[in-house]
Amino acid sequence: MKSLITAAGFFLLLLSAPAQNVILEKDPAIDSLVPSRGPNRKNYVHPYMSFGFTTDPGEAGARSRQGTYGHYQFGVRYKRRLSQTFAVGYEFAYDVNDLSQKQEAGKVAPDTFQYKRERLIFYNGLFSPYLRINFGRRGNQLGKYLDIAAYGTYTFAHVLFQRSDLPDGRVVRSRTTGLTYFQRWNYGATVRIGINKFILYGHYRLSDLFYSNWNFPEPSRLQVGIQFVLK
Amino acid sequence: MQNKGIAFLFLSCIACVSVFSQSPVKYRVYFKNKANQQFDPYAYFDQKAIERRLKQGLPLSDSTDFPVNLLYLRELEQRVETLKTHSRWLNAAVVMATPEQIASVSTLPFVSGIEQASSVVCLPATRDDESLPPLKKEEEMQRQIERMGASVLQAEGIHGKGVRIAIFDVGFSGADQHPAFAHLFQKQQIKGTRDFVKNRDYVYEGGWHGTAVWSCIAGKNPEGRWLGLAMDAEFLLARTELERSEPFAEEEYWVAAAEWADKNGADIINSSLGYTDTRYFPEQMNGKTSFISRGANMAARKGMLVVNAAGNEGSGDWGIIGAPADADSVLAVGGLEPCCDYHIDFSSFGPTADKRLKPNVAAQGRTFSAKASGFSTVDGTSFASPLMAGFAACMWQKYPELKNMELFKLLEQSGHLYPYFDYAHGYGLPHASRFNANSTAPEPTFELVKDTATSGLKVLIKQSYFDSTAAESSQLLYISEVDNRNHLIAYRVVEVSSLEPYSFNYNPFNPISRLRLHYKGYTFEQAIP
Repeated sequence: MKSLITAAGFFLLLLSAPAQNVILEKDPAIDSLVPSRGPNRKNYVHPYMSFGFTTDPGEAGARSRQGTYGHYQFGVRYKRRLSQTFAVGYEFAYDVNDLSQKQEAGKVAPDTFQYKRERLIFYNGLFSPYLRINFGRRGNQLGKYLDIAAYGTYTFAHVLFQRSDLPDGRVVRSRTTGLTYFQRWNYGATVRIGINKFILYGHYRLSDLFYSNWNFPEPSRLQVGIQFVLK
Repeated sequence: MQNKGIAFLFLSCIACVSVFSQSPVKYRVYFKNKANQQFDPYAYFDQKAIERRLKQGLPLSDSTDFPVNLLYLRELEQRVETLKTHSRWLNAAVVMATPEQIASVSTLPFVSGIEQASSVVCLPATRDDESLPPLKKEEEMQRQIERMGASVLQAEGIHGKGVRIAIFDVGFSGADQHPAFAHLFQKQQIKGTRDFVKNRDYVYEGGWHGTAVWSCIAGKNPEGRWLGLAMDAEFLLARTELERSEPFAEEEYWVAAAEWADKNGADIINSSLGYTDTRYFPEQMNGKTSFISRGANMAARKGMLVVNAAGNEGSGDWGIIGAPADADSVLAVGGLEPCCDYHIDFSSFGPTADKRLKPNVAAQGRTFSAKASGFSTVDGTSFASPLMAGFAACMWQKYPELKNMELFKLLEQSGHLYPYFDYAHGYGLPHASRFNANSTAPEPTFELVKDTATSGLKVLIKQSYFDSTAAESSQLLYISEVDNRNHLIAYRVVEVSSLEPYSFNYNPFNPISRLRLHYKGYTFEQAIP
């Protein structure tokens, strides 16, 4: 209501428009209202971006190449402050999980052939509720914090890239979709340690990626990376 | 494998919690009393500090001057990781302790309170703005002091002689070798230096911000032109800040430096810093919450004039003044454009959270200053503050009988807007000719009449007070809507570019009791029925 009145007042002011130029205009009565949104206010929403590495190799037969870029996220996170120490929230993200598979003897997933390169890429929608524990006194800042989160993902697109370098010098690249051996729904846990807008995270898949009736060993479950709060 | 992963995540959590929660954290521990302490002011204080107290009718000492009880400190030291520092003014100690240790401290019978201190970053109240074109140096250095009456003071030979100014800053890099200060070293006007960050006396490193600030009080360029007004003042230089991000304790250093300045006879403290959102919420800018603001108020109680930059958050998210500019006894200095008596965009706005007027006054927010080597144009209320401190020193030399808060009031009253004020300019820019002057009632420069066309009001500028050849933004009309507690509900500044009446409406739903207007030295108030 108050903002409507202010807007009306401002409109009246415009109607009575001056030949003179208003170069500064302040409304401290409204300016000084305590906002409910902000990094350490009741509500806070911010976008973020993550870049992670494949960290654990996975099981024999489906080992992933460690240290390769394997995880990207772009999401929006909501935080609800409960106290100076605790907050809860949830986030939605576009999540890409890129598994670069090791080509070695004994490989069985997703097939037994060895290629020059082989990548399984899953494009997911992610939802994740979390609990935040803050440390130390701070003003309207995110401060230092630890997040413990659960997540669920749904794979809405996927692709298997395989590249072979033939003896005659030719390169064969294949791109396969419509794979039937992986589960579209997955879940896991995430731990984040943050200082203001910089976050280190670990993202661990608890569910099995492949359907059990295929008897595939599990590829890498863990990604560790860095995340940036974008606002 | 899955179990290993769960174990990994669990251990990660435990490790994080233990790293964050078990590592020592900084706390301020307040004591109930100073039992069994003795204090001899003649042994402790510099003669100048004694003189200040006598001159202002203050007791030579009170309980806040007594040292913190050593037995309390020893007991505390045994229960915490580290005893960092202590403050006799606030009867407090700063310690690093784990939660268990601090819980043990809280049971001590002589402890009255504990607060957790933050260890986050705050930078001095300056900013780099390469986008602004530099002014002509000669013009700028002349204008920054002439606007406050440099020629009036020059004619009277008033340059702050006998006044001791303490400057708290990040360091004074290169100042001991800089030609801008050679005259001060030559005449031995530096009466003490202390680096509270490194716990030593050498202060000529750490950052050039302090060098620039100092030059705005007493520096001169190689051609002999003055950059500030108080070249005859004496100086105490204290390093209380770190320039870049590190965990630090500037608030404690600041209070320790204020106690040191008091002990060493400072009359004026200039500090060009501000603590904002890294530590506080805007609603905590009430002058009572932050450690530094409480320390600054205590410094004023000891008879010192504390001058502090309003801050450079005016165009940022924070917007308002920081601590300690929020303290009621601190003269908060806002910034003005070099061209005119108008708020420079980055200067922080008031009021305080409890609606007190801030900034109190304003000075030029863009100055020609010394740097670590050479000179440069710099932006920031950091430099408006020392201009004001230099001016205050001159006024105190001229009127030595004034008490610090009398000087404070007279500085406000010498502002170009007084008795008008707003939360961008305070009372405006003081001038030597207006200070403590018996001014006659100014002639009206405008009329306020009803605007029948809009049912509002209109301002008619008198022809004799309009200069069609005047530079842009040099003829300003200030309008504020005031409630019955003298708080501003709304305010605006209008650039008068013609004699065309300025029509306006106020919001009838606002609890306005008065309208207040100012144009060219004349302030008019009209009650709202």
